[in-house]
Amino acid sequence: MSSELTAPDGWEVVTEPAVGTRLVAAEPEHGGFRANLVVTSVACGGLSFSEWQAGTDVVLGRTLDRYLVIDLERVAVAGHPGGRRLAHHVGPTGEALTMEQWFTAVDDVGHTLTATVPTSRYLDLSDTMGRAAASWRPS
Amino acid sequence: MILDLVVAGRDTRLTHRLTVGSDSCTLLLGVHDGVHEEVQEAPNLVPAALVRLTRLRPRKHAQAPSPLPMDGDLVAALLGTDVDVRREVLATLGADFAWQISGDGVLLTAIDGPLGVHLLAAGAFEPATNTEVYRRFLTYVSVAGSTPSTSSAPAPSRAAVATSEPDGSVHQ
Repeated sequence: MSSELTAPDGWEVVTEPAVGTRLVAAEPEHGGFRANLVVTSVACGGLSFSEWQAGTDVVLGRTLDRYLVIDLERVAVAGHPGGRRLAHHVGPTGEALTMEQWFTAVDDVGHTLTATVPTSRYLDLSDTMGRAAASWRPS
Repeated sequence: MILDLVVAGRDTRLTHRLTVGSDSCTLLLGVHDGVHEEVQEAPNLVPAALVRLTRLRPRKHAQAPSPLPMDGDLVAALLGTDVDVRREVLATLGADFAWQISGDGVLLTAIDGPLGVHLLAAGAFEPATNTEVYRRFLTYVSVAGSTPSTSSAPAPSRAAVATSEPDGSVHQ
């Protein structure tokens, strides 16, 4: 199995760092929160796409500080039916973070690409994250 | 930077004021008629505050979004204090509520409801995505000159309930 994604130039990339996590890419150290991309793949266990995502939203709300979903839409991901979520949450040192997530389910495996950036830099980094998302080929 | 926000629905109309500085932000939040609560918040959390206050959230659209013509004279009624007039305009537009952010060169007026969020532009409410609206909110923090800290964001704190309108008028 592979999960291909073109990370932004100069970013640190780690593949298969943990069970279920296929790839982590982080911008270079700069003393603050590092914008990052994380690809995960998990078995859906027979859940429908909607059930899987409803459960995901519950988990995000329980695990992320001050989680606030802003946008949720159906979009194709690498030609597969999928979706996109935009949300706010607060990081470990109180910084506002914006999370943009793309997801699709293929053969009962749920694939998710999560981009997390400091909210103050979202307008600058959203195109970069969008290009990475467009390059993503979950499999 | 001072931003005033009016959120007007069929039954409730609330006014809020956000005073955004480089290191701090004071939110004067309308609780109900004439009653406000003062909250201190980190400037970098202002966009999220605006999301909450404007009730921006994913909605299943009843139909494909399309522009909704709007007579400019009715914007004041849409956001005004006359409940009956407001309800009539909201019903005409098929919206549940309207909001407007104004101040320091900012003016953004929207309606929201079953048809999704629409932003007022050139005589019509144009459909927008929540992401587009969020990006607009982010520009307001930039305009305020905020440089969010990654390590010193203060925890929100609340003061006693205030009893004055953001414009300074006092309610008993």
